[in-house]
Amino acid sequence: MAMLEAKNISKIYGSKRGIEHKAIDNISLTINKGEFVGVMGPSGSGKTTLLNVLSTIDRISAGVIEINNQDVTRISKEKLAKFRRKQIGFIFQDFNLLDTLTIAENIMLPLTLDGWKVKDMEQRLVKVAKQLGIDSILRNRSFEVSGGQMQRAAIARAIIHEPAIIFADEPTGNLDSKASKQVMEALSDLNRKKEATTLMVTHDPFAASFCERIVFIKDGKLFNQLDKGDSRQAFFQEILNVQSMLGGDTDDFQTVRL
Amino acid sequence: MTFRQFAFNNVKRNARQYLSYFFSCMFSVAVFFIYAVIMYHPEIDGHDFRENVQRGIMSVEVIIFVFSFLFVLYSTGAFIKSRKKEYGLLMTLGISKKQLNGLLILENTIIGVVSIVSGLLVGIIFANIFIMGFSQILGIEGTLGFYIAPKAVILTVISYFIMFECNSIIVVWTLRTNAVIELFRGMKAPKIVPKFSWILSIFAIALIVSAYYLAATASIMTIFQRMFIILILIIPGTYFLYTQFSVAFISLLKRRKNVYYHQTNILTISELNYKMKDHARLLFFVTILSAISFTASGVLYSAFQSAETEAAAYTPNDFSFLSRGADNVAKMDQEIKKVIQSFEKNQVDFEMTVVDRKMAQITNMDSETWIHLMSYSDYKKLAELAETKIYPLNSEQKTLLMLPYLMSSNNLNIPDSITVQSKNYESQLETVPILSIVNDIYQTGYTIVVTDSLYQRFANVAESEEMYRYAAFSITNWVRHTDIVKNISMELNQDVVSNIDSKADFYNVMKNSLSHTLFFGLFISVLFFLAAGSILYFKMYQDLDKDIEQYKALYRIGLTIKEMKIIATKQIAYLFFIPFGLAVLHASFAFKALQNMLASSIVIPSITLISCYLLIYAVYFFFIRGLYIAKIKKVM
Repeated sequence: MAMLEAKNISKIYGSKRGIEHKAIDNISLTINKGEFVGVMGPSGSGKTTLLNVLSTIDRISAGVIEINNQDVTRISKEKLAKFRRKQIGFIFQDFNLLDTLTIAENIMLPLTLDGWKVKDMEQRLVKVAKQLGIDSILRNRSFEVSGGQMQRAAIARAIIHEPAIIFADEPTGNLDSKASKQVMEALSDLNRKKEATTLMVTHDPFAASFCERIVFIKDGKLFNQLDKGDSRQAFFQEILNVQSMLGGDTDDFQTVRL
Repeated sequence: MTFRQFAFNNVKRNARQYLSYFFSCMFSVAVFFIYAVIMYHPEIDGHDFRENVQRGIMSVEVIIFVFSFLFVLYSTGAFIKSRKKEYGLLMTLGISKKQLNGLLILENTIIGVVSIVSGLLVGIIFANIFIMGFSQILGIEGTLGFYIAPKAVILTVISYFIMFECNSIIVVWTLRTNAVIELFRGMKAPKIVPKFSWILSIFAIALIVSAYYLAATASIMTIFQRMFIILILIIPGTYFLYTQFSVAFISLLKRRKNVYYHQTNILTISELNYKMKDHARLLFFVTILSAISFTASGVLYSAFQSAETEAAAYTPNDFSFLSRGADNVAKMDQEIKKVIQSFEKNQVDFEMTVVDRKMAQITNMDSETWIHLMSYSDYKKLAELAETKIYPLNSEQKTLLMLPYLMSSNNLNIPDSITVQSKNYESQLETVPILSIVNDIYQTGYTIVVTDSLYQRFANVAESEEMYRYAAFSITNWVRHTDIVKNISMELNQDVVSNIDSKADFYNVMKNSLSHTLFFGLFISVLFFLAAGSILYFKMYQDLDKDIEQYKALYRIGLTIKEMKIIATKQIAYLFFIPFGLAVLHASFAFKALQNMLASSIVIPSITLISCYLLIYAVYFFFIRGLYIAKIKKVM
């Protein structure tokens, strides 16, 4: 069953009289329920734009996007925000935890905004916190915990409302290798055990190797696709190969995108 | 790009942030300048009789200047702080400390010079209106000429220039450059959990409540001692209310999960928790500034408005005079005739009563004083004239003791009985205190009313010098005839009649003295009020960038723009209306204290004034909110 279906989508930037720039050029993409898909590509290839339009934050210029069998290209901004609140989970490169709230409050935020009862919220919180191994830091504030913990808290926030799909934008971009591994293991765990449908944009071949399928894009077009075999190690090697095939500058291979 | 151009562009491109700060500076320069123009006006300067006025202006100038100094110091400091990151960048690019200081001083000088020049221009435009208004208030015949003394310009330019320079030097001197670099290198200072102390929170409430109690129970006798105590209580009380109690209150709110976890409340409350602590000092200043502004203008305006009622309370008869001694009493008719003729000529509608009074001595607790006696039938005539209630007097052993208004509001110990004595005639009388219906004669003290027969007996033994005749007039619409009454008062023969007293006189004195104070007071109030608004604007602007980052993240999670508007509106509203509300509360207790001293109700004038302020504040609030929301919408 397709959780996300994008048909012939394009995104064009530029003013009426200025030069037009096609950030996304006629891409079609289907993500099935329970899939863990990575999107890779060199700088400026349109990865982040793709993530933004798929996650309804940005509007597309042409095409249709359906999430959970609902056409999201034709709803008002106001309704979209409410749709995101219920159907989409977000994980950001820079965590975006509010530093005025505790970790627990940050995680519960989507439920709070949706007007849940305190008791129900707390039940959910205990469940997801245990799952992600952050139940010991719930009372701390965001700046008191490590980067890996912060990102896991952000993941908890992204899944607490059991969304149809999770979008992750460079989730390991601000983390060291050890924390990266923790976060990616948590994500792939969620995917295997909870069948959480996930779309992740990344630069990091190591992080990408946790996915089941990688979609490569270049200059706004689909370039290649890779499916994970039995071994993650082999998958990692394949990813590196495609990356070198894609060309681009050497600094594209850095783990941190700047 | 030269160094100077760089500084100039910095100011130009930060114009929006500088705007309200600039307007406040300009306004204070303009006000300072206008007062200086009046002070150095050739028709005022050098006149002995206008020395008081000049001294008044002088003190206003000092207040404005000191205030501007503090305001500019605060604003410059806050502004430079908000741009620390920029300075960090400049320092990594290799700007030397000396160059950076030069840059900051240069930027501030530009702002200063622009404020001074535009302040002077605005001042010149409005100076003429001011001079006209001022001559009207002072009652100067013909208006003062439009003349701007070079001295006024020089004084304004020099004092403000020095002030701006001093301030930039102080701010630059206190800027820590090491910290700037650290800030730039991304050491994002974590927000510390706001702490509070229960003891101080309760202490704050106790201070404020006791100040309110003192104000509410103050009377004309006690207010002058209490005023100082009230200030000592209210200022630290307000300070701790913001730094301690507000945080305590919000943490209590956070514990109520049903409230705290209710939709966007979680964002509003948690954010406010930090903003309150961050802004505590600012809110404190805004509250105190607004409270001073409301109280000063409110008290002056209310007193001004109540002059008519006060005159009526203190002077029961619209117009009155007195003759002493048989000779003068005989000549008095002529004076009365003069008054009647004059009133008729000017078509003044009036009624008149002439009554006799006799002086006698009373003994009361071993001390002897003089009083006036009046017969009951004369009393009735006067009461009818003044249209007041007529108290009964049905026994020779009783007397109506007429207390002047000022005394009646205090619980004086009125003796139950007094002994009235004239020559060898003596009578013990039981007193019934009533409100006086004759104009006070301070030399002789009280007037008492006795039965006609008793009065006759005292009158029979009176000496010539002890006989008085009192003429009282009731003038329809006296407020409109104050000039006529004033003229007549001067025409009367002072050898024959004395104690010429009128409502008009009281009214004029009160209006005149208050109008000067009002003139000075209102402008300082407006200045304080503007400054309070400017400080708020400034803070909002500084927080905006930080807030936008947060809203962006929340937008992705699924916060609708409508909800963002609600959160933003609530947060701005708290910052605006909490100090406003507290200032109004402070001011209303000051009004209560004033009310205790005045006869007329000041409810309406004070509500009018506060509503005016509220209106300005609301307009300002919607303006700021509009800017803020437009900015948020733009980046979404």
